[in-house]
Amino acid sequence: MTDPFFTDVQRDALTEMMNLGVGRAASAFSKLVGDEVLLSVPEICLTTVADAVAQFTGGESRAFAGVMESFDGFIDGTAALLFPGERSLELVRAVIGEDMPADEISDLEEETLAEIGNIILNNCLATVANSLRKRIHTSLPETYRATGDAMFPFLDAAPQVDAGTPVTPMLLLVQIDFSLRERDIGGFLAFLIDLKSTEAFRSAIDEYLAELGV
Amino acid sequence: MKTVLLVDDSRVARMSLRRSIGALLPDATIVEAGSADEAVIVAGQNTISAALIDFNMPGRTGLELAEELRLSYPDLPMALVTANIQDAVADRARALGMTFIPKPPDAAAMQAFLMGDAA
Amino acid sequence: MEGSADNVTLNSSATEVLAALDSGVALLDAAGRVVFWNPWLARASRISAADAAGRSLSELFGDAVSDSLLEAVASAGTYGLASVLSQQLHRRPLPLWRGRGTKGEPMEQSILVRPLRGAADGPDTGGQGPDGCLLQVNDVTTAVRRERHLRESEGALRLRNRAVEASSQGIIIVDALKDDLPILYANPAFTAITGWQADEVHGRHPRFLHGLDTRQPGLTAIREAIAERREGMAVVRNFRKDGSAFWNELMVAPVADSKGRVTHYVGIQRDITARTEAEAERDTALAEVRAANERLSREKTFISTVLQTVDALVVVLDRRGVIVSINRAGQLITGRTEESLIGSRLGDLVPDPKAGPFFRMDQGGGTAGTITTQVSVPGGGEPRWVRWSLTPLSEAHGPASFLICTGVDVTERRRAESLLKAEREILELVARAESHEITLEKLCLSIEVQMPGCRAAVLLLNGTDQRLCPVAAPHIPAEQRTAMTGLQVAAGGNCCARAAFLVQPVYLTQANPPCWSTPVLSSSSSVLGTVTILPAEGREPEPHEKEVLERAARLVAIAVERHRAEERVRYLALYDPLTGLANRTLLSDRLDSAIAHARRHHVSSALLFIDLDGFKAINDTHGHNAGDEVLATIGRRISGCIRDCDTAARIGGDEFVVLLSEIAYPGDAQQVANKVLEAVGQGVAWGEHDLCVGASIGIALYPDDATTADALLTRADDAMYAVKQGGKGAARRG
Repeated sequence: MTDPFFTDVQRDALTEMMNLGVGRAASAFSKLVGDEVLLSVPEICLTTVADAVAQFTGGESRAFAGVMESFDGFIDGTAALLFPGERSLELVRAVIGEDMPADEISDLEEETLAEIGNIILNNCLATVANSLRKRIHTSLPETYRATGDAMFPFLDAAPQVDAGTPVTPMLLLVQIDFSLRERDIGGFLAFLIDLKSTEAFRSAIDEYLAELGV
Repeated sequence: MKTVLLVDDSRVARMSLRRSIGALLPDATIVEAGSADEAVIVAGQNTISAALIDFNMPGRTGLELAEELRLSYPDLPMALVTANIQDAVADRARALGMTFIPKPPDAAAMQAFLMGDAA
Repeated sequence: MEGSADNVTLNSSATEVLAALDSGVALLDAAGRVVFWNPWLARASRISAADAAGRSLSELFGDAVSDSLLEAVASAGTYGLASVLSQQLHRRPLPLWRGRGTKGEPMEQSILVRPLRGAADGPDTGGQGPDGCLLQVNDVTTAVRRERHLRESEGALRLRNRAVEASSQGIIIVDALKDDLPILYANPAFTAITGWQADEVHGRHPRFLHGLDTRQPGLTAIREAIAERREGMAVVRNFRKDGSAFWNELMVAPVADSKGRVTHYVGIQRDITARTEAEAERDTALAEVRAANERLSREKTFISTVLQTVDALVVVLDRRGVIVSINRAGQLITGRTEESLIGSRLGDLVPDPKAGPFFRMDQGGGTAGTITTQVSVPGGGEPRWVRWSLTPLSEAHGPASFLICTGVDVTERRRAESLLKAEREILELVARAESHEITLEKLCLSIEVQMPGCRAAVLLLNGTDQRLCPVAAPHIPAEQRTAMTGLQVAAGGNCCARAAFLVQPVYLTQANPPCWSTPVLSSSSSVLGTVTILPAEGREPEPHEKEVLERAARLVAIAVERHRAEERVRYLALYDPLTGLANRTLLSDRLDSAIAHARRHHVSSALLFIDLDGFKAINDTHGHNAGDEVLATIGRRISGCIRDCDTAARIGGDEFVVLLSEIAYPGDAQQVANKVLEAVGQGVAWGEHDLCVGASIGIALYPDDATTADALLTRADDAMYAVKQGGKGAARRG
């Protein structure tokens, strides 16, 4: 698979980093909940926002809930954990081992969801930064709800205009499946990387590959 | 003269491992495989003295591959090198007589495996 | 802010803001040492800002600080990562307290860890990392309590709903804080189930309900649930106050207070003794059925060679009257297959609900003996009559577990018996000289009993015009009754007319309505009428129905002939057969009636005594036949001279009497007498002869001449003699 942003080997490197990050996140989870958390091999997709919206919604307007945090450092952007519909609620209940039915997510659960997203996003971002020997800085996570095209509230700035030509920012989508306490919950990690950062990102990966001898 | 088998679907991961091995065992011959099936063939074509196997791979997992290799090479030192660093996975690796090395592999763990277990 | 702890300073306005915050704020340097500790944190941690300054969290709290928090602080300082430590995943990362002093309670908290950016650090530089972090601690105790309360209310609601939906359930509440779990509350349903009053059980441990039976598995399950402070459910055997045992489906549920401490247990009881016993009975019955099936399979040869080939029905029932086995005859008679019969109750095949229990040992039936019942057949056919012999069958010396029912189809015999009985009844009616109409109506009803769904009628040929008319048709609708009236006997007529014409039964299945007619034949084989049936549907009669029709026709013939004979006898007793006029007996009766009437109404009556003149000569000259012809003709002519309410009688050889029941004037009698004289005087043709007689008539009037019947007759007779003496051929009052 080719994409307009990375070469195959760059993609391969990125996948491996995400794999490490998700693995660390799973480890952090399993320590927290005292239970094994199965996380699938992440599937990485570099795409544009418009394509991502289409892929997520399947053309329909669907509710999404998730956690987002912004990052800056050697690359700037926004990271998000996204779940279709009520799955975010389900993830919280699975993580805290709660079976009590309730229609609404409570304040405490909201915060729990924020921490879950925080753990996953931080691990992925930190792994990428560490692998590339760069620094990254994250903000506190926020939970949010969105519908349809507005599913990425952090995309409000897009499309960005560069030298008079509209250019869509790069979106790194990572699909992961959680399996916890006999529940399977699928979601996405989305990393929206500012256009001005993409070149820095590419060169950082190339440096890393060069060091490996590629 | 050692021949080390690296099994990982990620080329970058294989390169990373090759570098760490090269630093520890400059004379070692390193053979690579991108999947479990390929690993069985490569192992048959070479005299392998140690194997480093990734856990998460398309097709069969590293643990499934290790089980098969264990039948043909009962004494082969094997290490599971994985980003899935939960205790449950480590326990399963150890149950197969494998060394568990979390990704990214640190030099000490690699040295312990290559110079110790697989020496 | 500078890159080292010593240089981390805050300006005074920022300090004021942080101090006023309703949450804990701490600033840590890159090494994790406290740089700032706000008053809120000092209060909650019981550590003053001065004591906290310059020490790490581990130094301040020891093991009481969670690893997660230390990791979060480290990754903020090392990598610049912000973290959230939520209450649900971490509980208490720091040992903080609400309130003051010893009265404080543990604080539920969530902590935000925010990396602080060093001044030299910029977005484009990778070398200088963030320095230190800001810790924000929020007290979420109230939120935790609120949400727990919410869950508890949901739980309580569920519990209450469960209690409400089963108000018949006994409820006890025990105090969980005391070791002996004393009962605090017992509801009325508890009393209803156990017999124990609430005040008798207060303060007692619920174990008294278990009696001596303390090692039941169910109790173990309940004890485990209580030990683990969770809900539990089990079936236990309990004892009522009167010592009787009952099966108690017991559910215990812990009730916790807002601190999560279990304060009470609610015990919900349901008396399921009846259900348990029913289940036990069912299990026993199933075992019995299995045993019976085994035995039956052992005796398969016997069954197939004997039971299956005998004409008698053989049905094996279990204690509840459920068919375990039925032989081929049974299948033929009931018209059902063995598969469809097995598992159903024999009693369900018997239309009479009162007969069902006879086949059920569990309802006191099934004793050895015989019983005759109907057995329904599918498709609404006529039920069969079966006489059953019941033989209870027991295993070894145990109580009877099976009932062997041997049945004989007695339908035909019962029909014959029933027909005979009906015949006897009809014949008795005939013998008792019951009215003709009543007898035939009874016959119709009897036919309808024999042939359910059919409506019966008896049609008889009218003696005068030879047309068929219904004489009895109790349930025939008026419309059809009219259609049956006045039918000409003919080959092309309707069903009845054809049967009468052909002198054989006619069954019209396609007519509307369908109709069956059987001719009624006299002892001399002449057609008297028909027995006609309107069946429920257009079909040929069954053989037994034809039999009923034939027998009915014979009964009608008997009844009709008997009736006619009686009519004849009655006629002969009161009338003169030669002239058709009243005889002396009837005249005497009518005379008495007329006198009584005249006396009551103060009216007059008249009696004419008529003696023929010259009759003896005709008899002697032309013979008795000529004399009889003359008498018959004279009789008719006399009848023609009087009103319907008057009576003409022949009281001797050539003596006639006319009773005029009511006359207005004495002359009226004379007028009638004159008419009679004239009528009699006309000749009577006899061959080529014209026979002539005359008459002498004496008249007597009531009350003028006499006031009694005999006296009137005597006066009229005397007057007639006077006329005879005076030259005959005249009428005169005496």
